[in-house]
This record gives sequence, structure tokens and C-alpha cells, in this order.
Amino acid sequence: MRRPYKASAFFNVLINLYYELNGVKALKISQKLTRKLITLGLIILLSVIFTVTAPGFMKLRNIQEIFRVAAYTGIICVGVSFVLIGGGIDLSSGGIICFTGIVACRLACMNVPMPVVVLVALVMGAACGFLNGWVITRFHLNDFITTLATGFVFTGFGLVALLKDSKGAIVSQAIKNKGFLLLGKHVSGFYYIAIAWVILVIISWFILTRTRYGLHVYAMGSNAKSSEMSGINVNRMKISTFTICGACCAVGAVFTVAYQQTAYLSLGSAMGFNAVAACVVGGVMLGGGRGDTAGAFLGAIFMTLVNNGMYKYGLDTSWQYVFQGAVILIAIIADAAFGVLTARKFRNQADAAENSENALEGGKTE
Amino acid sequence: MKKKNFLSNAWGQRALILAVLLIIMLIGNRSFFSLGNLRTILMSIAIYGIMSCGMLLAMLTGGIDLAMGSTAALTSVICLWWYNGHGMTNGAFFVGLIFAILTACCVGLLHGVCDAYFMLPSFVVTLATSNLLYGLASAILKGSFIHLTNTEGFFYKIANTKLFSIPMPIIIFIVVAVIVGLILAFTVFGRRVYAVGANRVAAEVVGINSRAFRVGCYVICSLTACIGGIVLTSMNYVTSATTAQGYESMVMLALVVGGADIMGGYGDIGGAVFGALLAGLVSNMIVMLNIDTNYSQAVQGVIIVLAVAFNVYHNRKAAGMIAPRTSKNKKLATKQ
Amino acid sequence: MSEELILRTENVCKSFNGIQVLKNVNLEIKKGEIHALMGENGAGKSTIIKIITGVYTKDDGEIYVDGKHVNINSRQDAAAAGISVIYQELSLVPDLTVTENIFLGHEIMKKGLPDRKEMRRQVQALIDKYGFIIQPDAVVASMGMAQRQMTEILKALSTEAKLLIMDEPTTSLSASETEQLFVTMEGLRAHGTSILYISHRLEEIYRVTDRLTIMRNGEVVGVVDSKTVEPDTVTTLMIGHELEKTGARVPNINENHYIEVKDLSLGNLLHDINFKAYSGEILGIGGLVGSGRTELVSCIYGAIKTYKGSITLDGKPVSKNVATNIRNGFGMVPEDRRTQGLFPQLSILRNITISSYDRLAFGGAIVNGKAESEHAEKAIADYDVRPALKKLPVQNLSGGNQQKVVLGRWLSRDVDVLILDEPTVGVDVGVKAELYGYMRKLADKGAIIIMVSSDLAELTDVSDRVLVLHNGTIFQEFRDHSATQQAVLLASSGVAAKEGDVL
Repeated sequence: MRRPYKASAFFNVLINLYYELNGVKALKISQKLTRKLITLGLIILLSVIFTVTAPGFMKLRNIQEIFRVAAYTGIICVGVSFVLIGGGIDLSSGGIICFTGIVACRLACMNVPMPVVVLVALVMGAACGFLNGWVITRFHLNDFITTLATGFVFTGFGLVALLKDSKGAIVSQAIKNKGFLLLGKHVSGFYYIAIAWVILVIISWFILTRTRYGLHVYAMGSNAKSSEMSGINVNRMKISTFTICGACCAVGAVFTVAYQQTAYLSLGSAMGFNAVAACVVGGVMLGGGRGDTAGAFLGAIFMTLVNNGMYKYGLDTSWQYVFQGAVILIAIIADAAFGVLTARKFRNQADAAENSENALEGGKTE
Repeated sequence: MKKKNFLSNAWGQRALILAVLLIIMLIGNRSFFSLGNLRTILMSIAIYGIMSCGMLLAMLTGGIDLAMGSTAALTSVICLWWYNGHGMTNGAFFVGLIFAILTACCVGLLHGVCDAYFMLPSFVVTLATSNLLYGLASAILKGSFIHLTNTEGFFYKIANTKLFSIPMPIIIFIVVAVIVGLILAFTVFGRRVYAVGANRVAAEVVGINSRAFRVGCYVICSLTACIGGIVLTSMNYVTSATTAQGYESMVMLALVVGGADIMGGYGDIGGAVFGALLAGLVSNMIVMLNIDTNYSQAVQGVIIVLAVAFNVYHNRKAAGMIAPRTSKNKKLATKQ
Repeated sequence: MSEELILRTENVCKSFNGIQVLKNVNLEIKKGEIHALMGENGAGKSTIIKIITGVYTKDDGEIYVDGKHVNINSRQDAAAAGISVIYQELSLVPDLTVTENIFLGHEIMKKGLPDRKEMRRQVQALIDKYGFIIQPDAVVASMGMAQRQMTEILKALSTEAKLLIMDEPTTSLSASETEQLFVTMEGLRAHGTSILYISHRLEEIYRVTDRLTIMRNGEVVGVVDSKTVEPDTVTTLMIGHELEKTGARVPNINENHYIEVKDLSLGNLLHDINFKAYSGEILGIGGLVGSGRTELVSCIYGAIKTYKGSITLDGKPVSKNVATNIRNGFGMVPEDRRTQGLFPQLSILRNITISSYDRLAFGGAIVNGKAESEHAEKAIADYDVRPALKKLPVQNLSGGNQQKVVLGRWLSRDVDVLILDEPTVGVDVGVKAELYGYMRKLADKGAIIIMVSSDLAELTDVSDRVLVLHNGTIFQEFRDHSATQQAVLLASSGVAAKEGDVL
């Protein structure tokens, strides 16, 4: 009774065209690479358009700025990628940023040495992530709802951690801890946060693609059941991905607080959703098993680029939001089209297999 | 084995939760029970409640709409903007309202088509449109506010009149809840919505166009966002792009607490109303107990986690006697 | 050497709820042979395999692997003994490569990192050894089914499996892929690996296997040399002594009310199908899974719209819209109850009435609560759904009662055309008889009934006429209750029973 797969007619036309033009050869290009080339192509295209049409875009200062802003989202994206590749979703990153950022700010204001501040923030971030993973696996909860909720909770922790006067009103603090503020600075034009980002991307890329742990994350995201049958402890793996995500949020938070020289309650708000969106744009698919942090890197740059370009055009923030929304929408539609494109050839076979599996199970459930 | 008790009924559980809250308030602050405060609570939940009713339909068919807040903002901005620009007459209001409704329909259609026909993840789609709509609303107003100044017109009166000494927003909430409740309980459409949510393939086999139903539910969802936005505007005499920002999270809270499942197929109007009620109660309690309002979100977060854990626990227990359904259960079953 | 046994089961018995499903099963598989296992559904094939692989535990009997007595209590035990199953649903991780899949969970490590080169070398060596045509670096998601199965086999071989069990591996394969698989199997045999091959397809048994064990009602009824055995012998063993049909129904056929399928083709699944189904009769459609049965009835129902040819009801074309067809009196009991038939969390009432709101609603929009409730209550009473609680979620019912609900959904609205796809899968014998009774009653009322089934007894006893599909064409038609289980079984495999042959 399963109907033949029916994407929109538009996609079908597109796909047929693609196959006619490229034949089976198209499938032999590595999917991962093609996907990244598309994002990279879009980035280059946008850059060219902005360079030609928006004065002040191709200035060194602006490029530095783009990388600084992109790095903030990008670092979070690294962590979120782990969770997404492992087949989960984490929307609580905003809350973790807020909490760890505020803690870091408080400590820095107490003149605690910078390494200690960073370490404490990292541990707290990881603990928050661990809590997410533990609650989700222990109680078999839906990660979407759970992390949305724990995001609120972590923001609440942040509120508790904020400095308040005797009446309970929030006091904003300016950090004067030189050692800590160093993190917000740049060295010959390269912001430390951007450097940290690149290092994190390289490390995470290595972990995900070269180590046994990374392999198991992909395996879990791709098919949790078979992974468990192969002897992988799926629950432990899931908790670990959330913990990594929490730690990455702490890294992002520390650098951002150092740059802004203060922390406040709305720190990281909306980052939970935006980081996931950036990952999806960069080809780290919802549902797991696909994409890598290099893709998330490109996704973060792309999103920042769109905003920056809009800014340089002199469009006000309203239109930036409009374009941002439209771009995400177009990107995921393109992504879906691309997914259909490469998967279509085998879809029928997969369907057939699934049908026979269902029939088999149905027949044996007596 | 286990006796059927008071708590095995959904309303029993809800009553227990309410009772616990009321006892806390009885100890904490008696003025909570004043008639004035009761009305405040009801007003604060009216908007959430209206939107919950719409989102319930989307969730029943397995969707989610994170753009509700932005939809409310954009539609209310469009309506008020037209109203102020065309002489603030009642006629202008209705024209503006029609534009707002058309906008909401388009938004719902876009969400539905992306989800049901293009098979895109609804959460990313609605997140993207959320940004887009927010931006449009902000662009119309060039980032500022727009005030409702005509206190004589119909627009103002929507939220600022009383019927049988009940404020209008509450009446509207009740009307919307009753309509959605009636649709779900007594119409063929409602029956089919549940069927689509329970099993899309089986729905197709009995001749239900499941995709069209999912699109329809998204449209209704956006429409309730539009109603919510306009009532909110009338209540606050002002609107902007940030109107109703973050309401979608509260609405999801209300539904999840009320027993709806974001995977579809579970949930009813009673649960949605209860959820909205609880959300309003809790945020009001936080005020009445002199807790910093900023904590309210954290408290709400805890409540979501607890409610979801509670639901999952009960569902799993109920599922004990049927064939295991989740992959985790399956594994356990094969091991045994 | 080749006479040594890799696996021997001795008097294995198993009961479920007091019903003995395996009686003293003695299975012997030699080293380096491809051994076929055949039997009707319910003959006990899957049970004995589940015992060998540690999914079930046996009640009695012994298992010897390689001459040594072994205790198999879990999948791990089976794997340790060198027994591997190639799963139908495939236990591969789609987004990883062949090499990664094969070593998943037990990677070869060097300096704390997976040693890709070494693993790749080992996989390549395995591939070369058995002459498989797969790339060690290919991503599983991008491979065809046959290649995925090869990967699955390699995974088993990498853990030193001595006996591979394949449960109907060809159902999802195309003809050329099947041939690839057979070549692979022959390669394995040449290297001394034994294979236990379960299949319903006679031609495959002849093509690739050495010996054949046939089971019936939980017993081994024959072990034969599959190169020389006659098809008739096999089917006789499988079916046993066929009971004389008693009191065959005389259908009251109305030739003026019929569905006609003319020159129907669908891609490469169906070719030039022509037949008529008359009012008053139950038309059975037999054939193997994958022969196009389900697609054929889906075309008639309007769920598949892309066919060529015509389908008419009393000369008027049948709509390609399911909803329209339902309004015109069509009904469909789909193949898989769980995924296509039921709304698990909805009540019995809702599951029954969901197709009938054209009658149970005012103006087609507002539900007539009283009529709805009465309709469901009547259906529950008429078709004896137990427990008779209309508010109970249907997921809490037993398989047989669930099927009554799905059938009741259509019977209660007096459908004119009822299409049934495997109507009694997972239903116990008593309920089966009830369901057949309801179907006959409906046929007597003048409905057109088309029933797809894999159950031979069901096809031959319940249907008045049987069409057997083979590779997308009608292979044979059996009129006037002339179908015997044996003839249908042979026809399903593409072997025509001799004219006038009484089997």
C-alpha cells in the first residue's frame, strides 16, 4: 500500500535533469564533499556579490569581524554537531552559554586567574550537557522537548549566579581582570575566539572522522539499533555527545564574555535554535549520521556572511531577519533536494527492504 | 493487578497537580485567591490558551510551529498598521483583519507544504519563517512600535470590554477552545485529524488525504496565532515585532503538560486548556510569592521536564501489556 | 571430509503456551554444503532457526556444532559457536563504509586510533578470497541490496562464521541481484562455509542448494537431494496428505456485476494482466511475495495511479482516487495490519467508523454521535470483537481481534468491492474460520471479493477461483475450486501443473 515516493514535481524534474546530465557518475563523487562544495560555492558567490555591491565588505576589519562573530556561533555548532550526528538534538545551548558565561564573569570579577575561570566554566558546561544526556537516556525522554526545557532551567541557574544587590536587583558587572580580558583580544588581527574555533573544528573533525569514538557517533546516529547490536553502548555515547556540546557552549561563552567584558541574562538567547539551523545549513542533517564539523564550520560562516552583507548594504536589522529566515528556508529546501537527488536511486530498494521487513515482523508477531 | 485509582485518570492527575499548587498558595500568599488576581491569571493565560488550541491541531498531526509568536506579531502589526493608516475606523479594522487573516493563511500554507509535501523538518522550517516574519513585522514598523490610540473603535474594545463581567479575551479564549474542542470531538474533520496523527499510512488506506490534513492544521494553527496577536495588541494598546515573542515555547509547554505528544496522535483540548491554565497559574504564583520573574522560565522548564517524564512513564506503563513499540523495548524483548 | 557435519540438532522440541511447535527436530548440515530448508508458514522453520541462533531456548534436545555439544542461550553464544544469521532487515549502519561496518564494535586499533589501513587490507583480502564484487570503501547507503547482503555476509565471515543462515534473502532482490547472490554463495561453498538457506522458491532450491530438508507441522518430514528431487515430491512433503474438500461453496455468481482488469501493466512489476472478478465469488490471488500481488490490488483500489491499461466496474472506469472509490463501495484490508491498517492509539470505535463518516455524519461534516456509536456497537457485536469495549485503544487487542476490527470497518458498511491482502496473517485458527465465514456471507450478498494470500489452504479452500501470479503476470488460473495447494505452490514457482493432473 505504500505509495511510490512522491516528492514535489519540481524536485522530480530537477532530479531527472541531474541524472540525464551526469548519469551514474554523479553518484560516485563523494556525497560529503559535494555537499560541502555547495555550501562553499554559496559562500564564495555571496562574497563576490557583496564585494562588488557592498562597499566596505572586503575590508580587513570587516573580515576579522565576520570571523569573530562566526566563531561564536561556530564553536557552539561544533558541539551541536556531535549531538546532531549522534541522532539527537540539543536546544539548550543558549541556556548553557548564559549560565557558564555568567559564572565566568563572576569569577573573573573576583580576580580569579584566567585558566581557573576557563576550567570552571568548562566543567560546568560539561556538567550541564551531561545532565541533559543523562535525563534523556535515563527516562527515555524526547530530546527536543527536554533540551528546550533544560535550556530554561540553565538560564535560571544563570540568574541565580548573577550578582545582586541587597534588594535582589541585578547588578551589572564590568570585568577588569586583565588576564581574563585577554581572551577577548586579537593577535595581529586574528581574534583568539576565531583561533580557538579553528582549532576546535580541526580537533573535532579529527575525533569524528579518525577515531573509534567518532566512528561510533556516526554509527549511532545512522542506525542506533544496529550499533547497539554491534556492541556499542548507545546510552553512554549519547550522554557523551551532550557533554561535549555543553563543554563547547562553555568555550563560546567564555570568549564572548571576555570580548563584551560583561555577562547578562540574555546572553546566548536564541543560540539554541540558531546553532542547529547553522548546522543544518552546513549539511549536518537532523536525524543523525550525516555531515561533519567542517560542514558546520561552513554553515556558521555562511549565516554570519548573510547577516554581515545585509548590514553592509545598510539594510536595517529587520530585513536581515527576513533574509536570514529566507536563506535558511532555501538552504534546507536545497538540502532536501540534494538528499533526494543522491538517495533516490536506492530509495525503491530501501522501500522494498523495509516493506518485506514489515511483512516479516507482522507475520511473526503472533 | 494494579487497582484502578483516582490517579489513573488524566483529570485525576491534573486535579492533584492543581491541588498541590493551591495548597502551596494557601500557605504562601492568601491574596492569590482574590477575585482580582483570579482575573489576572485568566487574562495572562487567555493568549496562551488561544494559541495552544491551534498548536494542538498541528501537534496532533505530528507537526510543530515555532513561528507562532512571529506570526502573531506580524499579523497584529499588519492589522494595526492598516487601521492607523486608514482613519482608524471600524471598516479599516475589518479590512486590516482580513489582511492579517490572509497573511496567517499564507504562513500556515507555507509551513504545511514544506512539512507535508517537501518533507522538511517542521522545526527548522518554522524556525526560519519565525525569523522571516519577525523581520517583516519589524520592517513594516521600521523597528519601532505602533500604538492603538483610538479608544472608541472596535479594535480597542476587543480586549477592553466585559461580557457578564468577564473580560473579553477570556471569552475569546473560551470560544476558541470550545470551537476547537467541538471540531475535534464532533466533526469528521476532527476524527480524521486524530487518524492522520495516529497512522498516516493507514489514514491514506481509508481514503484520507493525510498531507492535505496536515496542511490544514498548520493553517488553523497560524490563524489562532493571528487571533492571539490581535487580542494581545488590543490588550496592550501597542504592538511591535517583539509582540508575543517566545510565546511558542509557552504554548508547547502548555500542550506537553496537558499530555500532547510532539510525535502526534495524542492530546486533547482539555489537556491544552489545562496546560495553559497551569502555565498561567505558575507564572502568577511566582509573582505572588515574590520570586524574581526571571525565574519563571526556569520553573517552567522544570515543569516541562517533569511533565514529559511523567507522561512517558505512564505511557510506558500502559504499554506494558501491548507489543513493545520503541526500539529500546524491542531490544529488551529480543534479549529475553 | 565433506561428510563431516557442521551442525546437528538432535530431537529438539519447543512449545509455546502448551502448543508444541517443534517435535523432535533432527537437522543435519554438512560442512561446505548449501542446505535448503522449506516448509509452509507455521511449519516451524523460523522457530528452529531462532533456537539455533539463541533467540529462543529449546525445551528439549541437543545441538552439536562441529561434532561438539554446545549450549546456545543467546546470540553471543551462537556467534561464538560460529553461527551467523544474515538478517532480512540488514543490521548494517547505512552511513558508514563497508570496512567500517564490518569492524564496527571490534575495530583493530593502533596507537589508540582505528587502523584503517589494516582493516581495509583485511576486508580486501576477504573480498578477494570469496570473489565478491564490492568496494571496501563504498558507503552502504549507496549500494544495492545484493551488495548490502554481501557486506552482511562479510561481516559474518570476519567473525569466523562456519555456518551462515539466510532467511529468504532474495525477496528484495532483482533477478540479476539474485544471480549475484548465488554466485557469492557458491564461492562460500567452495571455501568450506556451510549455508542454511530458507526459501519458498523452488527454482532457487534447484539452482543453488545441495540438499533439502522439508518441515511440516513442527517435524522434519524429509531430507532429499535437491538436485534430483521432483517438484511434486517436494510439494507433497510440504503439504502432506491433502484433505478432501468438504462441502465446497457454490458461489452465486452474477455475471452482470464485475470488475474487469484489462491489459494492466505497472513498470516492471506487472505485465498485461487481464481478468474479471465477479459479484458473488471470492477471487483468490496467489503467488510469492514480490510477484506483484499487492501492487495489482493497490491499482484496483486506486492507491497506485501510474498503471497502464484499464480497470472497470461494470464497464465504467474505476477512479484513481481512494476516497472516491470508498464512497462507491470499495474497501481494503491492507497487507500489514500494524503499519497500514490500524490507528493503534485510537479506540475500537474510531477504528471501525473512520471509513464510514459519509453515512455517520450530518452533511458529511458533523458526526452523528448516536449513529456512530450504534454503528460501532453493531460491528463489535456482529464480528465478535473481544473485549467488546468500544472505547478501548485498539493496540490493546490481540492480533485476531485487531483484524476483526479492520475487517469490521468495511463489512459494517456493506462494501460492494472488498480487497483483502493477507487477511489472516498472525490470526489464530479459530478466528480465521470466523473471518472466512464473514467473507463468505459478504460474497453471498453479492459483493466482489478479491483476496491476496500466501496461505495455500486459505487460497484453495476459501476462494472460489484462484489466479496465481508469477513475476508480474498471471501464470495460471484455477476455476471452480480446482485449485489444490500443490498446484498453486508449483504455479507460484512458475511450474505448471499438468493438464487434468489430479495431484
